[in-house]
Amino acid sequence: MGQPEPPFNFLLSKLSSDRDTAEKKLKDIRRRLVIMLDCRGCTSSEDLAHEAILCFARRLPNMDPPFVGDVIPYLYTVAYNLYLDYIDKQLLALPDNFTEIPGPDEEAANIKEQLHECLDACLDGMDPKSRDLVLDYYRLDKQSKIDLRKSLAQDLGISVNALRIRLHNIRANLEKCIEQCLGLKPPLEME
Amino acid sequence: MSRGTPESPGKNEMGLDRNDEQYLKSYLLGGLAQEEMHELEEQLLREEEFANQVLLIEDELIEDYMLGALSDKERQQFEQYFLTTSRRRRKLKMVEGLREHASIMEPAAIVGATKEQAIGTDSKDRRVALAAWRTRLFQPRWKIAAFASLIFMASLVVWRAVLYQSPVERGLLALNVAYKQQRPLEARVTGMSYAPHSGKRGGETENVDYRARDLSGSLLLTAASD
Repeated sequence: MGQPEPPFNFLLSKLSSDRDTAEKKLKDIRRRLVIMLDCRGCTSSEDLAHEAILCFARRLPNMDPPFVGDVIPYLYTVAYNLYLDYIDKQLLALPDNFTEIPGPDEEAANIKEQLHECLDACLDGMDPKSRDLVLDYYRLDKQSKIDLRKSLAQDLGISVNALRIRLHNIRANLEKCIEQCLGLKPPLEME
Repeated sequence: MSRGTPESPGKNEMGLDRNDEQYLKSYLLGGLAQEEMHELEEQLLREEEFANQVLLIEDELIEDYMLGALSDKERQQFEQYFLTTSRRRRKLKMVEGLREHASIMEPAAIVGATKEQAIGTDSKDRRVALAAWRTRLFQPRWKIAAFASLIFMASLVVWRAVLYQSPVERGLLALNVAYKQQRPLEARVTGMSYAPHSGKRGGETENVDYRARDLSGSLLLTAASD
């Protein structure tokens, strides 16, 4: 995260008296804010989350009466209002000189080839056990999902839910690796 | 969100039961009322574990979509609401890619463990090496197109060098056939097989294949005019 900007100092002090703990808490809140905005279908959730925290951090020291209590409901309201502004801007009319409307899948089509190359590289770089597990899972996914999970979990000697979490973690790591390979920001993480 | 305590029966290790999962699924598909969304999002912002649960259900929603396990309504919501962000579209492509990869790979150690023991490690290593070789050879898919182009170009070279005959070559062949019984001139002509000179004078019948001679004339004239 590096050295936070001055407006963050007051906010950090509200999160914890210990600086490191406070920074960790802020980092986690930002990550969750990005998830939330992503779930709302916001295409620039990273930027919007940063803006929400910055806006909140700037307001916090100037509140009268001084702010006390839980920061989450307040931060949520700030983020939600910014999200509403974002939605309004999305609905603005196109400029007169705008001639080309990109297809919805244009971006996806452009990066598909590159994404496959990155997937190759990331699978190669994975530890063999995780790679075998995830590939087995998708190789067999024509079976009933419940049966497949049961059989895989049994083979691994773990519960079905532990398997779900393991697969989720493998996919998350793979996604992070692919994002980095594509030269994008790591997903849902602080810089 | 009406979620029970982690000790409730039917809860899984992530603290979710079927109703919770369905509720999160509805949220991710944009199927909740604003009030419900606000409540859920505040919890998401507050609890790390809950945020991870949302991401897990997001993953599994993508799988369900790929498997065709969503209802018509859910499928429509998935395409129109869920897939609006580039991150999720990338995730969908990643899962597609994984399925493609998995379909060309041999079963790995985990599921086929019993089978592996019976077959032996050497065999497994060979199969893994073969699968890896196939993957390296044909992935990404542009390599298939590159290989096809190379094969086409090599075939073209072989055809040109071995099988192709120019009109001049075909004309000379036809000329050889026309005069294989007797040569037209007393002197030998380079490139033509040996045939005796008839020594006959004008007006006498010649032992010549006239059809081959006409074909040769036509081919050589065409080649000359080109």
